[in-house]
Order: sequence, then C-alpha cells, then structure tokens
Amino acid sequence: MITKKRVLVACGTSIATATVAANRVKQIADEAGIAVEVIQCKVGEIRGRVQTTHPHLIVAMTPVPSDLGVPVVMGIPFLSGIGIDNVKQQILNYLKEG
Amino acid sequence: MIWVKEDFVFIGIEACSAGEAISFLSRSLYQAGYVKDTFEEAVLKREEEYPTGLPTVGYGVAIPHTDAEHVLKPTIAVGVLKKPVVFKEMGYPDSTVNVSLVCVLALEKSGYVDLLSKFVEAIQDRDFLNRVCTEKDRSKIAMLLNAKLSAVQKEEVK
Repeated sequence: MITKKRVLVACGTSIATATVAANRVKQIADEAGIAVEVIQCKVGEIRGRVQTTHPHLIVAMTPVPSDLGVPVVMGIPFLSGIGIDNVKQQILNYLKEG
Repeated sequence: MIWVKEDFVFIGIEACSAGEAISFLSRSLYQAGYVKDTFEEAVLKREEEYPTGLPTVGYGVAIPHTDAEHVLKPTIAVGVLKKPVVFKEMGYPDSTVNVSLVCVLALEKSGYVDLLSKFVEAIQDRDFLNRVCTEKDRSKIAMLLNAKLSAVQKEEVK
C-alpha cells in the first residue's frame, strides 16, 4: 500500500494564502505522480498540528519555529512568482525522499 | 462577479507609508459600505504581524487583507502609488519590498481560494503588471484585472 505524503501548509491568521499554496502543492505532486494529503493550518496552531498530523514536509507562508523537526520550505514564491521553479524542486525532493 | 469596481481603483496615490496606503483604501471601502468599521484596524494589525509585500517582477505588490468577519460585501480595492512605499515582505519580516501596487482584499471565506489563485497568477505576469501600474485610466485598470480574473475561470472549466 502506498502511504500518502502529508504536507502541512501554514500561514498567518487567515487561511487565504495557505489555500493558494496548498493547491499548488497538490498540482506539483499530481504532475509528479506522488500521492499527497495537504493539510492547512494557521501558524499559531502549528506545533499541535505537527504532533497530530506528522507531516513529511511543511510549506510555510510566514516564518515558523525552527525546532519542529520537519523540513520547511517557504512557499511565498507561489504568490510572487519569483523563484517558483526552485521551490517546486525543493518540494519534490522532499516528497520523493523515503 | 465583478471583483474590481472602478470606484475602488485609485491612481497616483501619494502615501508616505504602507499604513497610509492601507488606511486610504480601507476607508474607501468602509465609506461605500463594503466593510465594517473594524476592517481598517484589523488589516493594519494583520499587516504588522503577517506582512503581505510580494517582490513581484518589475513592481512590488502588496495584498493586505484580514479575516472575513470584518467584510460585508467582497471586493478588491486597488491603489497605484505615485511613489513606492516600503512594505515588509511576506514570509520574511526582516526584508522589505518597495510596493507600487496595493490591493486591499476584502474577501469572504468562500471564494477565497479561487480568487486569490487567479489574482496571484495575474500579478506574476510581468507585462500585465506593467500595464496595470502605468495605466492612467481607472476604468481600464478595473477592466484589465476583471478580465484576468474571469479568464482564468474559463480555463478551469474546460
């Protein structure tokens, strides 16, 4: 059985920007044929959400604590368009691991 | 849905700070009854905590917004600044972006995803951004943005 990779997408107070990023992460994974489950959260809830969802990767739209024990990729390029290929590659590298 | 109304497009805004630009646009929305009186302060506060400056190609763009509870009718207020103002960069509060285009998003929970995705695609297009930031006719700016927002929707359908 294939285990889905879990990606936690975190943003500020609202879920607006995380939603945009979450959609892109799904797209990227789909195109690469990787099964993912994308979960969104507010940065304030991130510790609890990491514990409950055990993500393989965090995509952050705002700074997150550095001691979460999960790799973090900054997802701002999904909004600005600058450095978007680099972010895609980073995300794919993490999703292909393990 | 017409997202960008000509009434909420302002060209050549003379703002000295990000806060001034945000307040100006927020007040125009409040005066027209699109947002609650709590909107302006909520947007300013959120911007301080979670900045929205984006280092897009050519012109910096900021997308200040806040929670849906402060919004009465969803819309977008657009301000093209006479001179860029400094916004903190989204995700990197120690960096700044010189922003020329401020788009205050007054959005309800539903429709956020769709609209934001479309909006973000639009501002990532260098030529498009250049046209919006140099256009002198507010109705044309509204038209440009609305066309872009609906165009993406059509692509999704097919």
